[in-house]
Amino acid sequence: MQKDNNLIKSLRDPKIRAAYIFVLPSLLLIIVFRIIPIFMSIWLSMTEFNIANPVASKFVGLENFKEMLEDKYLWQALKTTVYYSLGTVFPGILLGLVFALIISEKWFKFASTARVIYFVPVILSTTIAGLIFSWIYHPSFGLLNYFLSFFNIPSKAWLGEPKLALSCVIVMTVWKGLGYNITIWAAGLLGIPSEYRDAARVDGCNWWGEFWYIRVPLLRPVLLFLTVLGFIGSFQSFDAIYVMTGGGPIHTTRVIVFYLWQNAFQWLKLGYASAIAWLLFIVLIGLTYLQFRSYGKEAEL
Amino acid sequence: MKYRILHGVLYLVIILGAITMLLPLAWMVVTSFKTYEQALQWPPSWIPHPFNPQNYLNVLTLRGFSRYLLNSTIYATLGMLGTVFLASIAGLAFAKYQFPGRNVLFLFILSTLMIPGQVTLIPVFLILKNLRWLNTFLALIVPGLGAPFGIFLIRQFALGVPSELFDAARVDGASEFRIYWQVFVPLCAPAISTLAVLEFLGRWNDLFWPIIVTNTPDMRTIQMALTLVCRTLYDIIWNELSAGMVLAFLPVFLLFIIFQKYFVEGIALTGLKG
Repeated sequence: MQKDNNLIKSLRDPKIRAAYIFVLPSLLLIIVFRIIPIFMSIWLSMTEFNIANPVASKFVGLENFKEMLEDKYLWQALKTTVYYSLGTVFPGILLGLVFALIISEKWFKFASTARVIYFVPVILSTTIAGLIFSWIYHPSFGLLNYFLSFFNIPSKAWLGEPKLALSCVIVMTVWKGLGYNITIWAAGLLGIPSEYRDAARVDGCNWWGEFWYIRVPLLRPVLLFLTVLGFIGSFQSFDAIYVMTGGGPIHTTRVIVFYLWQNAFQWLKLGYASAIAWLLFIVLIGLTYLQFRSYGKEAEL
Repeated sequence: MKYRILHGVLYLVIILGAITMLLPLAWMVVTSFKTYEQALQWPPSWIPHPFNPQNYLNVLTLRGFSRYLLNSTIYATLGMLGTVFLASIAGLAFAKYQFPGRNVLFLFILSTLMIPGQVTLIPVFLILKNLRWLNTFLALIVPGLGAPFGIFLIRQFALGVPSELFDAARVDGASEFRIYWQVFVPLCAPAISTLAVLEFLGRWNDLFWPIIVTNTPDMRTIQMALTLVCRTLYDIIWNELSAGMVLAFLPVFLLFIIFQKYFVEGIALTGLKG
């Protein structure tokens, strides 16, 4: 009662009233489109949802989760997602470091121009990037087959070949994300005080020694940040697969979110798709935990 | 001397990398000026001959891209304005006002960042279906307006703004909204611009959400259209589609040239999506 009175009293204060009015719209939207859906999703994952007649949906308990254990396509999709993530994240980070190291050197003259050029694919939509690469990978008229013909390498169907398709999507993703990795690495490199490096040089370190013993340890938070953010992003990827392969050929590029989308919106198994979403949540929550920790470390740097 | 050779090699690495970055884009532009026959010519040619700008006209009129560009403009602009406005007033309140429940509410909002979009995707779809909002701009725009990350971003920036400036305005008799508009917005311009760029770009480039909540031709966004039109039964009409892609990329590219700093900052903060 006392508390209620305080609240009413405080609402007479125009400053407090304004604050509530400022917060309220966002709060309502977040409740309706983020909080309530969480509980709906828990319920959905335990039903066999009937989209034509939701009232007739059947409660099935943990049946959907049991089905997941036996669904070999789900495990294939998870495996594909892990391959895709490993294939995009680490090569991207490594290449990004190499390029960032070069353009961060004092003698390098066109650092800002280079950074702008490398950043252009980052702002390109995944849809356009995927379509351009599909065109380059085209089996009959593609630029890639044309280039390779100079080296007498026979034409391939690229996105049409089960063994190659995922790698082709990975190449596109690394191409598109390189500028991002360079930007983050370059910011990290810039944050290292030059006295550290000069001191190492005075003590007789060569470039490699100074890089390995001075900069690498200091850049570990950046590495963690890029790794975790990279995995969170690539585990949720959908657009590239949707545009370039549609999950094929013979399911070899079907990643987890694409499989979730198929279950929900092509086969209308909304209950099962919700269960898959929770599996994804468990994977991502682990990665998100790491992300928050790496933000903390980033702040220390 | 030793260094000059090494530096030369490293310059070459950067130049080759830069060419690799731009080559696919150049190929898109070249293809967009070709005729259909020429796009399928072997060996491929880097010079469109005859030069065929007709593709752009076809795409804008026959293929309906003027409508799709308009849809994307509405979706991205209104979504961005709404989000930036709501996130900035909430961020201001959390940073500069004392009110009961402030910290609890802030943590509550922040905690929703832990939930990936895939979990809430299907329920939000069902909510929109029940509201009969599917295939409207409301479905595209409204669910994204409550933006925990945006609130967080603005709040962190606002914490660094001296409170005396607000108090001074209050003494002068300004209303709380006027303080927001005339004192806070100019002071927070860097954070607000970063958020604005991020929100606009995210929506303009988005494919997933429009696919979920729209399926009629007149509601297509530009990215969706690129995955659907300019196609025959067997293949894609690559010269026309390339023209469409150039049109879809041009606005983003121009904004990037003008607001480079905010693009880089915003994307660096949030990571890559797609």
